[in-house]
Amino acid sequence: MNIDLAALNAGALWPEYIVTITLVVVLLVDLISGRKASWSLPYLTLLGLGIATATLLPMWILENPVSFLGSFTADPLSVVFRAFILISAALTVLMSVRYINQSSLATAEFYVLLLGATLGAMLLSGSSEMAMIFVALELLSITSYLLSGYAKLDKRSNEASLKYLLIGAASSGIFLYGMSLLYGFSGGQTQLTEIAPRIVDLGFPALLSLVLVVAGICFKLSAVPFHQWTPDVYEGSPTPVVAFLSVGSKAAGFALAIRFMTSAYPGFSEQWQTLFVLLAILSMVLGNVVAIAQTSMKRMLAYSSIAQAGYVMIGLAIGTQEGYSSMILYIGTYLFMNLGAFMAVVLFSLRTGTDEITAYSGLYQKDPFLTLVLSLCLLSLAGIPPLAGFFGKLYLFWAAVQSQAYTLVFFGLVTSVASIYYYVRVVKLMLVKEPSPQVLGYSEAGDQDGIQTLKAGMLITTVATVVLGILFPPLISLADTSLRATPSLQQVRTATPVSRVSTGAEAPADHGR
Amino acid sequence: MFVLSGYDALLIFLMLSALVPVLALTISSLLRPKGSGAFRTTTYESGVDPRGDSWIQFNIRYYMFALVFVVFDVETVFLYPWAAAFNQLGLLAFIEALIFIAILVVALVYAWRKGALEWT
Amino acid sequence: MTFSEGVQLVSFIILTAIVLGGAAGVVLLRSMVHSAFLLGLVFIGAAGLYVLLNADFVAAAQILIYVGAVNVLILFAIMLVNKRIPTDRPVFSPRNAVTGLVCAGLFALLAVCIFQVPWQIQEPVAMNTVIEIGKRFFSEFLLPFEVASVLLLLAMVGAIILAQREYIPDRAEGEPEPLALPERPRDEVDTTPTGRR
Repeated sequence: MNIDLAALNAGALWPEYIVTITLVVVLLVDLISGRKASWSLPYLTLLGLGIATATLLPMWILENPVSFLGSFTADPLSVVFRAFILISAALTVLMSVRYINQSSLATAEFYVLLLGATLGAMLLSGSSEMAMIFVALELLSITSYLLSGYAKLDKRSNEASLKYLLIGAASSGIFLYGMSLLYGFSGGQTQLTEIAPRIVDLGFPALLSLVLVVAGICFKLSAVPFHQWTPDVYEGSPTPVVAFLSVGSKAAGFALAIRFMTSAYPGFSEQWQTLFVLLAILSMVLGNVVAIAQTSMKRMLAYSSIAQAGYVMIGLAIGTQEGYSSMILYIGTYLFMNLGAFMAVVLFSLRTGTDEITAYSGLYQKDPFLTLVLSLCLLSLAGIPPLAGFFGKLYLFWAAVQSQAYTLVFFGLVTSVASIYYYVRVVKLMLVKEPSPQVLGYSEAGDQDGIQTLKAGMLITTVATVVLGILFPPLISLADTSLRATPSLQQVRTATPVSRVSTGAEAPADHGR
Repeated sequence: MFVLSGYDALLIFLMLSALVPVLALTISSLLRPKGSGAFRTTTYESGVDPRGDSWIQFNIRYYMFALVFVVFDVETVFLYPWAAAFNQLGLLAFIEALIFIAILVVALVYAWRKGALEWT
Repeated sequence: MTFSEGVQLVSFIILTAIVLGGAAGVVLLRSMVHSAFLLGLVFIGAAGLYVLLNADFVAAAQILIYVGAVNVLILFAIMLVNKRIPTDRPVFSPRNAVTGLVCAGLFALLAVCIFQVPWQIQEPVAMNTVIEIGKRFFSEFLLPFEVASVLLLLAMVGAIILAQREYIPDRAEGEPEPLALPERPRDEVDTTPTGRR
């Protein structure tokens, strides 16, 4: 049973190899030179992430995306999500430099764990085989638990880590149960595409496995009702970690959701789409309503991220080509606007030591740059017209209208309007109100090394938030071409009408057995 | 259907070994003096008077060792099938196993440098 | 029924009793140490079931990893925490009743599911499972195998960084606990009237 290197098609995973090498190099540099070299570690990490992105882009459309005998599928869908994850990891590094120094946390291990989470998320967005999916998911989860408890002297961080670990372990168990059922139903297959034809006629048992798998994935997406961990974990974890969890980890979760649903359950598309319709509506409503009552910025952004995940799920729930491409575009814009908002929160909390929303009042008089960045990002999250978030939402809702999902559009529109209230409240506070005591005592005198990288990151995200809106038409065509070249999604489009007939006809026969 | 061979001996061994603690406890309960003195329920500490509770806080070092042990235990379980199938696997598998081991050597070096293997 | 089939049936019944009874004990017993030891028993019983299913390597790995390492780790973790958990919690509280109901519902669903599926049962063939697993590790499961090493590396790094005491700075008596996060807890934040809207 010898296999040669060509059969593995191992070249498709160069970005992942580079992330792994960077991870080991960062660890070894720290072990060899200790404190002397610790200033260089974030830049080393950035360099590695940059090279990985550079090797990823030429792989846009590979002739043979299947590598490692089916464990990994490097199709354009995975390339898009891997790029998102790499970018969000790089932006997270930019905002971590000063934060880590100022909180006097160990430097090297933070970047090592962050790179590990990045690797897990990248692998997760391309895995097409159940053992690989589980290992990648655990790599992402375990590093996330460790990162959220990274400020180990702080009780809130301990609480965050423990809650995340316990709920995460339970949901991993549920996910694993669903996958083990699939393994049994298909007579010992672990490839998602091999499973699909073997479970089409199963009816209720296949639906049970579907529900278990969706529950496991939705924990990563923090979709209501699997969201309970989110506010506490977001409040207690170090802010850069929260930023990565809310973007990188979620992007990986969505990639997994698309791949798992379209590859393993094409015969049950009606059922899982109904499931995601429910999850999307619940997430949009609960996320936006509870966010209004928050007094802490991090908690507000936590509920806002739940709501945003709800919007993204609209694309998954309608399950058309337009739905998927609008979903990808929205995740792309959400990446920049959410990370921009988190960078502003990091900068403000480093200078004032608080993340209370009321403390932001009158910030415009002291720091116009920070106010501008935070305002633009929040307005974009709210979906105010000239910014990228508006076009993202517009395209999502348009895709939903095209497939006649009017309920989703209705809830999306109503909750978007409600969300404007709590986003704009912060903006108004910063621009109009009298300065708070924290803002009065605000000074840039304490700024040291690392603030510049944070500001650079803020500039990048803000420019992206503004410019992406203008660039939308070419991006839409780009997303469309990438989806057209993704084989698993092609099958969906042709398989959907057929499967609807077959499940309708065979489900009663199956119950009668 | 059970197709593995050599497990009859294991079954007999298990049954015999299950008898040992039962016999030991039964015989000692037959032989020991009856009655209940004040010292019946105290902790046995090699003849020295026991001090304090038997429920004490353990050193965190034990935990560190156990953690490192878990990691290398899992590594052993992963490498054993490779060693067993070594003759039937090619050069490529050898290189792949080397990569696996190299990454775990980094873990060992890390644990060593951070003093996780020292009792101080 | 031949003799060996009878032995297998009896072994299966005993192992199932061990697993089920042990698992119930893990959940219901009040002493954490007892629960942890019973968990070890459950792991051993599961290993026995694996042997009955012709998966001898998996059984050995189960004993080696779960009983030998994970269970010991759990026991150390319990002994590390120098606290007796108050044992006056009633076993039959409303919360436990709801949990029990949910578990029973899940069990019923799975049971119905098991009887509905036309399982594709294959006749087992005698083979060296270790060599077979080794071959699979280096063909179709190569990528998960390699990623597992990274996972182990990161688990070790994370465990050491979180468990080591060297990183906790000394502080004088009465000094407030150091806060690692720059954001102060909410009750400590200055709430003078100008700070409020």
